[in-house]
Amino acid sequence: MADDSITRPRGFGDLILLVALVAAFDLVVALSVAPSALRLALGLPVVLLAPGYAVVVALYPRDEGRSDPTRPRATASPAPESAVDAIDPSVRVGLVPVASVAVLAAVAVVAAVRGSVMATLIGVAGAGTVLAGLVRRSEPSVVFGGAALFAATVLAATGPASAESVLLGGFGAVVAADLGTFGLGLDHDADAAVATTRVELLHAVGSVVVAISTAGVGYALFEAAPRGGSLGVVALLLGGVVLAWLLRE
Amino acid sequence: MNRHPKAWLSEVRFDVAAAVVGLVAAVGLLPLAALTSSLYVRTVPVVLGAACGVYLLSVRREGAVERRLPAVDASGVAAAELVGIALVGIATWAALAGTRTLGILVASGAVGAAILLETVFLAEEALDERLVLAQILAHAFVVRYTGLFTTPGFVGVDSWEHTTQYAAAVQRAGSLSPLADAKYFLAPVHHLVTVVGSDLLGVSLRLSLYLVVGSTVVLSVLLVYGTARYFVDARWALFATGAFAMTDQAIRWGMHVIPTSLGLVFFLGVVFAVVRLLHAETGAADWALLGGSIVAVTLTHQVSAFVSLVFVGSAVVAQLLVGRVGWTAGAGSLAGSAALGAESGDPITDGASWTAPGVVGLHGAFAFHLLFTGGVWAATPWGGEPFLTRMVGIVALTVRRSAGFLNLASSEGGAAAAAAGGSGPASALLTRLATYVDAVGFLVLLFAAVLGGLALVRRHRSPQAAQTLVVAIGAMLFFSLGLPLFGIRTFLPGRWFAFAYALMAVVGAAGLRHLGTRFATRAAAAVLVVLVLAFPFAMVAGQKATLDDPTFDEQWSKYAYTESEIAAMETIGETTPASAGAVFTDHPWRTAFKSSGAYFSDTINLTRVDGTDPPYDRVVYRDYQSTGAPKFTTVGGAVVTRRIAHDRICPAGSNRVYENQNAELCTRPGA
Repeated sequence: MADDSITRPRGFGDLILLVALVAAFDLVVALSVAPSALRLALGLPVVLLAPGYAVVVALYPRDEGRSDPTRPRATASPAPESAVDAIDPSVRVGLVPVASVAVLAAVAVVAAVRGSVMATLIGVAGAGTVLAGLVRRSEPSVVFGGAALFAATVLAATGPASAESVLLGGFGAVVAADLGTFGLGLDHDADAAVATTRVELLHAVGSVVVAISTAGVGYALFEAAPRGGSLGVVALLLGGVVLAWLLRE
Repeated sequence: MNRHPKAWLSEVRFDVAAAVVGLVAAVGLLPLAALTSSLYVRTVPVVLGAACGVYLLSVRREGAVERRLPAVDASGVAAAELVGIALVGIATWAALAGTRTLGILVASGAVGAAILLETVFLAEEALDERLVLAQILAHAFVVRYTGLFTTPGFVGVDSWEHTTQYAAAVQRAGSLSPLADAKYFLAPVHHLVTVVGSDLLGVSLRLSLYLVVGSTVVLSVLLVYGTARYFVDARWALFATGAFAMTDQAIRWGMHVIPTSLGLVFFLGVVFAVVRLLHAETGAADWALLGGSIVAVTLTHQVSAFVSLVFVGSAVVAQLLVGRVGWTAGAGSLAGSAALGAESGDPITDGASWTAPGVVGLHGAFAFHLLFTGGVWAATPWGGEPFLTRMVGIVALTVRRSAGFLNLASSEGGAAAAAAGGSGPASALLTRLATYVDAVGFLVLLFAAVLGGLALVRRHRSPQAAQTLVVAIGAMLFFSLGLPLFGIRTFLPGRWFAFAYALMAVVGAAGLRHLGTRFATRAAAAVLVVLVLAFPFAMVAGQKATLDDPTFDEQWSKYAYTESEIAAMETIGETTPASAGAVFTDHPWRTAFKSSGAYFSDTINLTRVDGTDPPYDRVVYRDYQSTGAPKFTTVGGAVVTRRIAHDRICPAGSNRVYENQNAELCTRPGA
């Protein structure tokens, strides 16, 4: 029986090889001089393996974890920093094309789907993350969810969404993240017996006032930017950054 | 004496109780055979009863020493070389023959049997898992690609539409706008991957479909190995992988490459992620893997997403069973279980010490799956309304109108077999033989899975994982076999088998291992040899695995077409004006006909060619209608598989508007 050990060589040799393969394929496609057989021979591993390999290596770094899948888990809820069980190389081979196909589709979706639909999907995911972060008292999740909501708004701005709804969504995202993190901070610092509703309400009023003020500036910039260009999006982004900074202060 | 109301539950030995209930249920279901001719109603109770009976017998031998199957002391490398030579021979044979002949199917079954026998009986030191996995993958590629590359056009029904209409339109438009009104607008992964593969590789959509999506479907069987490895040792995990790869349904979706195929791939990702979360030391990456697989399956195919939802829901049910009800030890009595020692009753601990299993909360993942999939379905257009509301409406309507016990809505295969052409005793015998050959593989897998399910619920290590698989298999078989008994086929029961087979292969491997270790070595080995020999032959030659060139030409319809038939289809499609109305021909050809033009095509109703009803204006004949197993409709819309003479489709007085080697378009004089 083959050894169950799955130790892998350290270093980035495989990733460098992967990048080289992708670069060679890019050249073949860009120059359009190679015979189709070469394009196919180079392209198939690039399409089937490259994106998925990168994803799997990112999810499950090499040289980490226990190698025997039949070992029982030590605890039902492992500590956050404990080693993750390694993935068998044969299973990695199965995961790689599956992840590749998912990445290819994701890239194609971004390229092909209209901004508003994609924005809706990302926005829903962002809202879910904010809610999950609040329930689980995870500040990074709330921030990440707020960022996703803001990204969705920016994406919507590139599509057919109106300036008003984009502004409302963008500032709503930042305010949601700010209120969420503020509430969690209070929850962390204050005793459970202390009533914090009044403090939270005051903070909310302050945040919304700042948001409305910044929204005016953002809207003016948005309207001033030429139609059809990307300056409106840049203005919106600028407004969001200024708002986030003000609220943080 | 005060006892907790649920205390009795934890004292019941669950595996024995389930086996007894299964045996009683099987005996109770036997009389149903008198009420219906459905093959599964007749055979499933027998198989269920046999598996439960064998398990109960094995329980009586629990005190005996665990036995080891006889091992063959041969070279694993030599076996792999032989398999490799045989596969090259099969590929060459198919290339020369131009199709997968009966001989090729038999040879493919023989090589499959050799791989499984090698996996089960090769001595421990000779069994190299990577070598065996390579053989399984090579066999899977050869079986599927000999069929794909010897068939002009596409294999199956839907692959024509998905490639020539949806993917081609997306490629032309460079956006998803052509799918705007289709239910694939928010499930476009299959089409996008096909298009991206075609654009990047500079090949046709067909080649991209086969090379990119088809290869991924084959390679994804390695996830079954990864899943099985958490339940059984490497030998039986290899067996589970090989068994799944050889099932007719896995072959079907490897040849008939449509969104279901890619949905199956991502479903295997969901299963692997869930099982890993229930067994291993895991981290955020594993939750990301599960979340990513859930998103991917939802954006690929609706049925696959629903199956995945049922699977994750089963994991939550298992979580409640283990965490709340108290069947934590699987064996029932905790004390009794612990007293048995680390390995006893657990097929896979490999000498590992027993630890408290605990419960992993998957309710969050289920909630995410439910919300995300439900949200996407609510936004998915389907016939002018959201997919979610329309689907709910259809299910409600089906339940109101057609549901009723033994209201057997016949499956395609059943109808075809029942009405197969020919009337002689030889033909009737062949029809029956075809029906049983098609069912043998499933029944073997079911036997092993029932046995394995009973053995696994007794395991120490992650009873939650074992019960997840058992509950999921039960739920999936309910959707695929149970609901059709009540006339409900809205959930496309035929699509569920491939998904259920993946779980059944894993659990079945545990069942056959149990069989091998509990009974006298020689008897167990003999039974295993018979099962392992019968399984690949029956599966590789099954109806769904031979859509390109059926094993039984007269009983099973061929879902692939000759060059002449495709040329006829394209020419007739291009030259017939849309105003001419429908073109009628046999099923399944008429389904591929749709891809040749935008106009309507339908199945010939025999009442309109035998003079009962007015004749058609335009009908298309092909030689297959007189020599194969074409389907037609007849009185009341019933589907029959029947050969029909050329002159009945194209009578002497009709006009031959188009004619080539295999096909012709006839129009009624004056039409």
